[in-house]
Amino acid sequence: MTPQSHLDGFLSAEHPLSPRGLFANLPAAIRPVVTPKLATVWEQDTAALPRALAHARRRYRGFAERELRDRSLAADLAPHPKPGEVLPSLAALLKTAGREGMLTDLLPRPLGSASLGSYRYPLVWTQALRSEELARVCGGQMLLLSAHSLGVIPIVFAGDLSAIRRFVVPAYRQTMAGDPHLFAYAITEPSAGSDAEEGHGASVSQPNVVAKRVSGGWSLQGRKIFISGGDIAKSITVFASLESEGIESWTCFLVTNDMPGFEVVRNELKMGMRASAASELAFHDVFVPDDHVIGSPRQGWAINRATLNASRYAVAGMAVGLAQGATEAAIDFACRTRLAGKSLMDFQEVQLQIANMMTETAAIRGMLWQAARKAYVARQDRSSMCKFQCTDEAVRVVEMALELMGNHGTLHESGVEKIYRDARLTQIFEGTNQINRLAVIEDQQEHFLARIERN
Amino acid sequence: METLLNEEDVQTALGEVRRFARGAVSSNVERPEHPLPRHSLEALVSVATEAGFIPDASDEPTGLWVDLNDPLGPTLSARTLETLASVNPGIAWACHVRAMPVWLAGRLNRPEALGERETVVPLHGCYGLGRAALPRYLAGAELAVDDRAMLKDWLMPAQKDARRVVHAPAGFDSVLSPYFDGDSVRWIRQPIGALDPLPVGPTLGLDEVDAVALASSDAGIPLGPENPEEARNVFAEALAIQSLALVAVGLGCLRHARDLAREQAKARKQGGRSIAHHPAVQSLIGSADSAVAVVDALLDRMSDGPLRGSRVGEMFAIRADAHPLLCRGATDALQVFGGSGYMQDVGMEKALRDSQQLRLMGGTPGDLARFVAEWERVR
Ligand SMILES: Cc1cc2nc3c(=O)[nH]c(=O)nc-3n(C[C@H](O)[C@H](O)[C@H](O)COP(=O)(O)OP(=O)(O)OC[C@H]3O[C@@H](n4cnc5c(N)ncnc54)[C@H](O)[C@@H]3O)c2cc1C
Repeated sequence: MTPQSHLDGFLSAEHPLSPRGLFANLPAAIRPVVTPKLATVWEQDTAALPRALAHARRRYRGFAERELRDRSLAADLAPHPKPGEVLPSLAALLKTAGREGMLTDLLPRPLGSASLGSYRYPLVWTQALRSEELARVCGGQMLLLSAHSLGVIPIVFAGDLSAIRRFVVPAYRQTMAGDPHLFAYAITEPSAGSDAEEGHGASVSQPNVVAKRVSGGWSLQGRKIFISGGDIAKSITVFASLESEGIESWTCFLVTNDMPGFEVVRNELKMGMRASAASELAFHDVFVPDDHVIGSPRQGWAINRATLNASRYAVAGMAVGLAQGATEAAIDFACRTRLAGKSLMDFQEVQLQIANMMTETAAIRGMLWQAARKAYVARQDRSSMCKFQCTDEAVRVVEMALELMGNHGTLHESGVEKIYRDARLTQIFEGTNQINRLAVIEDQQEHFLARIERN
Repeated sequence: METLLNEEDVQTALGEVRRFARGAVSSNVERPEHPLPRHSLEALVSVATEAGFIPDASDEPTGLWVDLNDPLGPTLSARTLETLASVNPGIAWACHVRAMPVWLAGRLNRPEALGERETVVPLHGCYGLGRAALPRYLAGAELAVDDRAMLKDWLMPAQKDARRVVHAPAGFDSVLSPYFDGDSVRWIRQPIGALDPLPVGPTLGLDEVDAVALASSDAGIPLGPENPEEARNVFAEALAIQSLALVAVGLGCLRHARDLAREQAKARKQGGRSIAHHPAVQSLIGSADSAVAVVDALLDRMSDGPLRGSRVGEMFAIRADAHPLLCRGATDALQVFGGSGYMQDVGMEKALRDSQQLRLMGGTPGDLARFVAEWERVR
């Protein structure tokens, strides 16, 4: 077959009216300004990043393509393993990810695997780039690798160097040696979901996990639910109220899975992101020694809110990656499917839809990068704006991909129906998108009050 | 055909369907995380057939899509499906799939078209909705060479690996396929063996039925109709029936999801009170409520009067907006549940998947809208 010189409705690059050829004839002085180099959106965006982050982005993409791509559909279909068990292929992934420094990038080398160069930029930006590239290939495996970092952030944000030295550094070392020591983050309780993410709700919430003072430490009693990676984590940052007090007394405890009384009750059967389990955890009088308190007692709520302010950028990154993955799947489909002798890519309605998907994805990526590049201090308003806007828009992009592929998009083998199921989670966790909208208002409250006062 | 049904008959029949749905169907699908086993689906469909909700190959079939010339016939069929879908959309779809070949064999006056075991009628071609060629053909407009090529390839693709996907319980032994012979859309009865059926694993929704990809082949017994005008009408009617079915099943599905969301909002406390009191949650439930109300009215409109192929444009116009509305309602209803909505045992994620699946079958909203534009232009 002779190669197609142009898509239907367009001029070929060689056509006398095509800008590409015409620009080449403009005066040499102006030519570089009006003639961009031929580049995909990925290449343009990567080139716009600072060098250290561009390098990180390429590394994340390489890792995702090499390690996640082939596991993606099978991991989604596999039955959820029993608590504590990991599918052999995912166990192998975790080992490789550990060795390659994908699980230890919250600390700089040699304590962790982050390059010193990347520390010149906000950590949340690097984390958002990472979650984007991993989610672009597989939401479930991305979550498996990312929930771990979420479990570590509270220790970093407690500013407790001793805890970092005692808990994170040895775990990172073990992980980089190929024996993954995973963390998880546990705030959600049967009676406190949104209440664990939002101050007003927290102030009236009845805590479920309670810490009672005992000699030499604390005894934890109660349940946490929906904890990502809670089934295989060796260390869990668990937030608990002190006896007879409310969430204002929340304290962050480092619970290890070998502590007597700790139980993984069950793994949920989820709609998507199925390579990562969401677990119910029970604490039956789990003794936690004093030196496993992260930060100080009663600092838990602050640590939790700071953690969420940072991690919501990463959730927005996931959404961008899922939108990107869906867009690429739709483009692949349009380029390989023919109807009545033409490639689908030749049809204007398909071109319009693909342009929409590319642009919506670029728009949310732009919003996220714009906010993240300044997020040396993770702001609640910005991180929540990015979280709900990027996730809502990403779901719309995935719907467009499904629509472009029609009936074929509904097949598991298409990969896009899985992206839809994965993407739907991003509108729910780390605070529902309703709660994130309220978080924007909460953070801007003083300004609104001042205006009310003025009126 | 003489008019047989009155309002009371319809209500009585729907009452029986409701009892069946809330009894036998409901008790089989209490655990949304465990799709109905095949034998249970077959047993339920058999019971529905015996009860007369689904027609069989007998001389005097009753049930779905049988009385379509009767002014109340389309309403009865559509509301039957909606009622079944409010308990389980997959079972409702399986009933529709079972009824379609009986309707078609009757419409073509070819009772021998029905297979030994099961027969299916895949209506959507390999991709899309035949672009502008389909509305031109159905409106009786002049067809250009490209239009003919499009209709031919859409219904029976020339590309070797292009397959038509059928959503039906696997195990059917024959397929009644529409094909374009250069002049009209006619029908052919194809033994399954000629179509190299390929199970294509799970799909986004409708877990109870399978997805089977069929290879392209023109092998089979032609069924007509000879008359071009008649051929046009039959195909348009088939598409109109499918539209009714998709919207009716979607509406039942959303009604169920909306009801569950209401119960959840009443029971769940966050922010110091029942979440039903938070405007954020009221907006979500209100969105599901309004989607139910609007699509309910649209379904009334679609099923108003005897079914005519000439109304296919209107049916498609309605579907183009009904499905996005149904999906919006379903996703908002799920959101009322927060994290538990994401878990399979609650049933909300299934309702959302089913709604999305229905949106993408038989032409997507974009395909339908473009169809309508061309249909209105040329007719
Ligand atoms: C797959 C998965 C993984 C998860 N991983 C983790 C994890 O690793 N660690 C962890 O701790 N948690 C995790 N979660 C929990 C998640 O963060 C919560 O599910 C989420 O915050 C919502 O809480 P909820 O489920 O209790 O919903 P609810 O709080 O019950 O919300 C129900 C509805 O009420 C609305 N609502 C609630 N309160 C208010 C209010 N005050 N004003 C207005 N509207 C309100 C919500 O927006 C929602 O629409 C995970 C959840 C899922 C599904």
